[in-house]
Amino acid sequence: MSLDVDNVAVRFGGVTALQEATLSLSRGEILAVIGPNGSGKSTLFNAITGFVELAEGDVSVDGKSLKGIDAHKRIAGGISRTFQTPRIDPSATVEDATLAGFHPRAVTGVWSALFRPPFMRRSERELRQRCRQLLADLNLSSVAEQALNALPMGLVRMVDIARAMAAEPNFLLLDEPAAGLSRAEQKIFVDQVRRLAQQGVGILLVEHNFRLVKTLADRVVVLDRGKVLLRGTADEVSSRPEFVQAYLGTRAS
Amino acid sequence: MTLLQRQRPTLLLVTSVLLVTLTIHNRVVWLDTSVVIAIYSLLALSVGISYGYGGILSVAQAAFASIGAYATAIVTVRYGLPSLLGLGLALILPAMVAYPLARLMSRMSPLALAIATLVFGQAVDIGLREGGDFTGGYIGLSGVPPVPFAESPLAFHALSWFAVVVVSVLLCNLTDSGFGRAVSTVRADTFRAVADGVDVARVRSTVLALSASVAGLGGWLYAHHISYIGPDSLGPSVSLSVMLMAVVGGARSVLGPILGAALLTLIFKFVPSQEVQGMFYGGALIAVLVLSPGGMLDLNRTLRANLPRLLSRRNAVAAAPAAECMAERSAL
Amino acid sequence: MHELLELTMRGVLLGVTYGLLAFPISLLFIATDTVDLAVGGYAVLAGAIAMFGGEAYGPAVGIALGLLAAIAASSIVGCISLALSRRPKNDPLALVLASFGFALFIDSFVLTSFGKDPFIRQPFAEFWTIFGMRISPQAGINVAIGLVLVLLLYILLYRTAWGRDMRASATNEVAAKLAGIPVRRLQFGTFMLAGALAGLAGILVLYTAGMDFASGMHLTLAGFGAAIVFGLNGPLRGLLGGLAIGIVETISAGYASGAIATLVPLAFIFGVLTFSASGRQVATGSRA
Repeated sequence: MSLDVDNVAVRFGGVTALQEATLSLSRGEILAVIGPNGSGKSTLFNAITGFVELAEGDVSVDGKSLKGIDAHKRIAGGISRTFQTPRIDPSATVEDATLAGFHPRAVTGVWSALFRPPFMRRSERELRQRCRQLLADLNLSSVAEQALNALPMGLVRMVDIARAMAAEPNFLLLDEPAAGLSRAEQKIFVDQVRRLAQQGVGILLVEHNFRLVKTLADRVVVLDRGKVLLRGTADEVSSRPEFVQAYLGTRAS
Repeated sequence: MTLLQRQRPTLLLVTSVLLVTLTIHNRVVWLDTSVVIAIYSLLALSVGISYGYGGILSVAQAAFASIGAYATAIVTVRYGLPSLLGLGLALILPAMVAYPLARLMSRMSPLALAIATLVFGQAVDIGLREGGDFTGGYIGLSGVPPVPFAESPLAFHALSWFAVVVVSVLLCNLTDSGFGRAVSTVRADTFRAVADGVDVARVRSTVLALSASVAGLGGWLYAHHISYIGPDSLGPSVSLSVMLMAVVGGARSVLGPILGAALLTLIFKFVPSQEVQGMFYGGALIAVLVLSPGGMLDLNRTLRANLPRLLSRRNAVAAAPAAECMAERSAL
Repeated sequence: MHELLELTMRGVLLGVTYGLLAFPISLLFIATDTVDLAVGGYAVLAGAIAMFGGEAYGPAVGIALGLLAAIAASSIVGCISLALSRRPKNDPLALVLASFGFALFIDSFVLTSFGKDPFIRQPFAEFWTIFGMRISPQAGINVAIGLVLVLLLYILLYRTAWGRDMRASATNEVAAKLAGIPVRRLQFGTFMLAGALAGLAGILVLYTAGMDFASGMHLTLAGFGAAIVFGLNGPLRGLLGGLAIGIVETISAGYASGAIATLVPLAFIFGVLTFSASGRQVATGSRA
């Protein structure tokens, strides 16, 4: 199974945020997207998940185009994402926030909510168990009952990741997940991502931390000003002069 | 969450109702006031569901109640059908109107939806006034029969509060469910909800439909209690007063709107005339909004939640980066 | 045909007043991303005081008092808006709710002070006959005032420093604040201007079709409809929107019924919000 982005272009008014963007992500693979600020990385995520409209090109999963499929349906269909700045309700607890991520797997009809039939109660019990397991895996159990506005940003990001992982997606899009994480948290994060890839989840990673990218990513795509500049493994890409120029803006000496 | 935890508000409600019933069971005047409070509680709850819970400002909840009241009045007075049929219609018709209305406006901001509800409320008002013989026009419909198994004041008091308790049970259930979590997320942040896989349009429309049903239930009780319904009975000024009740009591909780309804009904028993009501309700609503947007119950809860954090300096230091980032984001 | 033309003229008469109400609504929306539902109330307040103050002290004094009352009312809402915008969680719906409350406050105030009967002033006994149609000189006054005001507002928005500052803070509030523009004061000024315009519109309505204590919401909705029909981008569009609604309304009053006529602004709003681009403008929040 693979997620294919084919010649995608996204325009806002007069600005072309993304053009001729083509990449392919297979299940179980970790693909990193890197590039300076404004190169179109978040737009790529928005395009894949359906948060913005495509001016050109197509996004498809296993050959089936996602055109016309609403964002929430894509997410429920197996593509999860995190946000660069975590979007959360500050007064929610860690457990509640993570539980919300289970929505595609939960019983969500209004009648079940009002009358609580047995199958709904069973589903809720199961979900809470899985939620607790997920929090344990990510070392978040100790803060499960705390409100998000009482936690440091690193932990809040982990909760955002947990929420995206909850629905057991086929493809996980992580937008700068390691920003603000301590070394210990980064290690947990890396372990979790590797474990997910082993389980067959395709992971698209936007990350500035190149050391992390080298550790994790199978392949790398470099974006610059909305276009794909380079592709290859992390080592291949970092030795290219265009890469250094894009990041540092000067000729490599 | 255990059954006890989830239904705590209902237990409080039932206890209070039992105590009150014991006190007033033989005083007809107070039984009447109690029924009025129950009816306004349902209307205020409908505001709580749509606005407090779902984040949809609907300035026309009384219009949904009106539909319910007129539905039962028309079938009982004009066609002689049983009041239970009227009940069914009072629950279903407002929801059937609310759902497509919200669906039509679903891709729009809460502001546009609020304007749409205003337009809807005015349209219902005009429609009822000009309904000719069907709705009784300006005069309205009188002679609505009492409910057969609740003809005495005490029985109707019991029936009304039974209705409120049922709604309370259902709402408490709602908050501890997949749908309930989705509603909370939609209210807080639409994009977050989409990223969770939530069908925002469906959720919003369902919430408005639910609130409309609850309002319709209040309308049904109204019609059979007063035995008269006219275009001014549950008009825009009632929409205003029930919004006030919900906001004063705390729109986000289950008991808040009920408390607000009780408080305001009792206070406004002393307002001299019909005409000045608008000034009182309008002024009071503005005062509450400016001084305390969370309402009494909400204020209480947010204070209790934040007090331990405010007291602990260690948490405050760690919380600084996260809190700052949050403040930054909400300022953008 | 004759009748149609006459109805159209009357529609223009009414439409100008709607256009005048459209301007403060669109300006306020652009500036604060929220709607003031009490605009019609300011108009009714001005009309009522002009009527009954006019009876006591003469028409000129009545009109002056009416305008002052409208400005005072809108300033109150301006203060409310300032108070609400100071909260950390700035919920745009809060002003909608508050202004709704204030609108009904004004309704009740006018009802209590002046009674429930409609009131109207018609000082022109003689009608002009143009192309065989009877047109009240009031029509001429309305149209003239409407055009002059649109011109003045255009100059205000596009040729003065105030207008430039207003447009800047509407496009990007944070940047405007950083540039030293007193955004909050500007927003309050907008409310005062809204009161003046709505008051003027109310007085014109008083002299045209008359009003009663409950006309406020109808006028607010007509103004809102006029504002969004052709887009929120300027006083001329609001005037055109007002004319469109006014004409359709009077024609339906003439050929269908009064009730259908009152539904006209509502239908316009609903249609625009659901189907058109400016509806989506309202949806996504000012000019995106």
